[in-house]
Amino acid sequence: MTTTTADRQGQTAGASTGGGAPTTRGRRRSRHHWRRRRKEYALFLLMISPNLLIIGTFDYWPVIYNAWLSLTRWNMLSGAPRYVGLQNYENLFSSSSFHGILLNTLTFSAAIVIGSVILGLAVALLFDQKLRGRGIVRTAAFAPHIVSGAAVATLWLFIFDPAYGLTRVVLDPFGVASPRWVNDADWAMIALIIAYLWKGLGFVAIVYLAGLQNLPEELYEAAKLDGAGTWTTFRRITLPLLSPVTFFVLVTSIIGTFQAYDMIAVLTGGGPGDATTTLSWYVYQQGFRASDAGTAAAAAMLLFVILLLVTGLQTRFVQRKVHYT
Amino acid sequence: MRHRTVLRPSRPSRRDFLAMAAAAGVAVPLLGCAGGVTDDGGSDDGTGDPGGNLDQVDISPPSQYAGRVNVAMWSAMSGVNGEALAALVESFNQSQEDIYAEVQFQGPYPESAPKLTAALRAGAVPDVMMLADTFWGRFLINDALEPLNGYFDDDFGRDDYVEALYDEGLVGDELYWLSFGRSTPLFYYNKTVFQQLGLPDRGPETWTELREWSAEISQLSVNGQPLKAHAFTGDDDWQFMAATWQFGGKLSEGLDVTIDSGGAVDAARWHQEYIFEDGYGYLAQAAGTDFGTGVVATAITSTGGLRGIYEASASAGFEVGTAFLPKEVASGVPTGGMGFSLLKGAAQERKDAAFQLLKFLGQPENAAEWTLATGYLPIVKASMDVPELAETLASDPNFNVAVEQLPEAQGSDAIRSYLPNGTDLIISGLQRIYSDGSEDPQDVFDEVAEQLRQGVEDIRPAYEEYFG
Repeated sequence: MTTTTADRQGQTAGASTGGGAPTTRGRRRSRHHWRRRRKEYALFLLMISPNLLIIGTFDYWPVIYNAWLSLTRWNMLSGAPRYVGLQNYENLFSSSSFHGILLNTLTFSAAIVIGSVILGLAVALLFDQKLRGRGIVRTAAFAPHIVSGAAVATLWLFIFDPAYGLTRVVLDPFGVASPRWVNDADWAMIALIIAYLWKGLGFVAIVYLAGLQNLPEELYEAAKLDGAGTWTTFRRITLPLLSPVTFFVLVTSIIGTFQAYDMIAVLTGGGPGDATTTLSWYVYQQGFRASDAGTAAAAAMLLFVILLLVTGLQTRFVQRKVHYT
Repeated sequence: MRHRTVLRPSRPSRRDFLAMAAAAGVAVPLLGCAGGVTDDGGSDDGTGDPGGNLDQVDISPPSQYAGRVNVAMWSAMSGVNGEALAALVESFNQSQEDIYAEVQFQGPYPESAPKLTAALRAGAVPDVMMLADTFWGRFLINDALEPLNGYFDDDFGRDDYVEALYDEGLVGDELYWLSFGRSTPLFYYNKTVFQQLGLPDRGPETWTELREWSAEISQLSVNGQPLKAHAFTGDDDWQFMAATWQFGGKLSEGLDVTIDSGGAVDAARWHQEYIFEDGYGYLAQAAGTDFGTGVVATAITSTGGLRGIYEASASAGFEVGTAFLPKEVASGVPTGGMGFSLLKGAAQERKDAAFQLLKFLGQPENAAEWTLATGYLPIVKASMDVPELAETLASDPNFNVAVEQLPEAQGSDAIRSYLPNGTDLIISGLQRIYSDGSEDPQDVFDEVAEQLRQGVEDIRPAYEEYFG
């Protein structure tokens, strides 16, 4: 303690008197202090350096490099990126097919977000009932979430197959031919949404179920005493109290859909035409199929900015209204 | 004051410092690995030699082949064809004691080619790269491919090959791509269905004739639905290029795009009407598979699919017929399939070893084995005299159809070969037309042509360096 106080004094003296008359002992102590501070700082740097190095190398550097690439034209095969300014962005915004791709991305994302919330909550309410065998059903419902997207997509390719698939078997008795799901411009997006929803539904339901089971019993008892019906209880108590869960589901589904890749790759390859090409698939297509690094990077920057805006909006407006118990 | 006392016990000793520094030291090489550049240490002693600036991708020789020069071959073949290639490469390993070759499957052509691009950037490449006819051009004009003339000698050269196929790998007089699994599309038909309907036992002469027959074919039903007469391919534009030629057009003249006029638009419009107005055809997920399982009566797919289709049709219980492609106003038969290239930047020792593998695969008995196992065209003239292949060609007319059709065949329109996303753009347009009856083919191809022309601006200078 005394050392520290003396240090402080020496330091203050040194600073205030501007080279007045600190004792030799005080100066030595001050030097000692600074050496220790430096040592601590070095230790701090050493401790965080592995993390900084990894985050810097794998997160920040690619973003910065990508931003640079988006201002260039380069085929990734030979030569060096050639600076073209905002040309890639201008091309994207003036292309009607790119507008279609943005619209696809929004349609896909909106359908998944809305579908996940409604179906997830419905399934969770069902799981919350005291029914026999619900443990098994819960596990079964959660299972698709842990299966890889490529495997799920392959499974759905079988289901959707118009010649041998399950949809044909189901529709046959009604004399209706199965749609050519993934090869029909009108059905491909619907097929993708169904498969994607199915994969994520179990996870959303379990999250909602956890939320449901944490709700305070007293409120329901009070509501019952006040004569509230099932619907009123659900609308006035359950839904508002679940808003943190809904917020979580919103954020994760929006980000998830904007990053969707594996299921699109296996199920539709973005087709037919551009019917199921979303922004993330477009980035892959331009970068690796078309060897057009600049356009891919520009589209990736747009994806980045959109997700940044979505996250910003959500934290500003949605989170403020979220009801935490 | 208090925070001092709290901090003090956590201050590490000198020994802790050393331990942490050591841990950091471990982390740095780990980061190095993540770059994807690997070094097997086996065969890149040539670094520094001319063209030795590219390392080798990971390769893991089994113990009995340790100590040899390693050759990594990137392949785009799976299934029956992949097994046949692996068997040949294994015979190569057993046939000599200096070289170990390994086939590494990298996904179909559109997936394996981008992996090569990534490998070139990462600085570690395979030694032999399997590239489809429409993929090697883009690596050529970016100076990635090794000229091969110098590797041939008196007892192995152009004379051994079917010249027309060999010459497709030439740029001027220099060979950059050696044909191997070469093919043409064939018209496949379900003989059993044709017999049942009393249709002639041959393919249709023209698309118009196919339409007439289709009316009868769709009288049959499968799974309670009318049997579809023809499956269209939507993940390749090879068959459509053939149709474009058959309707008197071209996709491009050199790099000048012509998909928005004449035969291409006519063919697309004809196909679209056949699908949506007549209801005879459809866009298939995999036309060859649908045909092999009896879901559709006819399809156009590669000669290289023959063996796979035989296997499938045997369990579906019908007989397979093959024929020349239908004409309309002209004959149109494109060659296709794949060959092998070496990478310019690999060390000379690796390139020499890699060529030994190509030479082995070009020996008549090996080429015959490949053709027999897959259905790909015989590319080596003498392979057709190897007894097993000679017998099959004589006894199985389906194998022979491809050989007979070959003189009519020609290489791809340039726009598919040199523009990296040339085929992707055409395929995307084609899918729109085949999957949506309300899309106007002229409008779709106008858009496609505009995108193709924009792309051409980027590649024309490099293209003209080789072809100007």
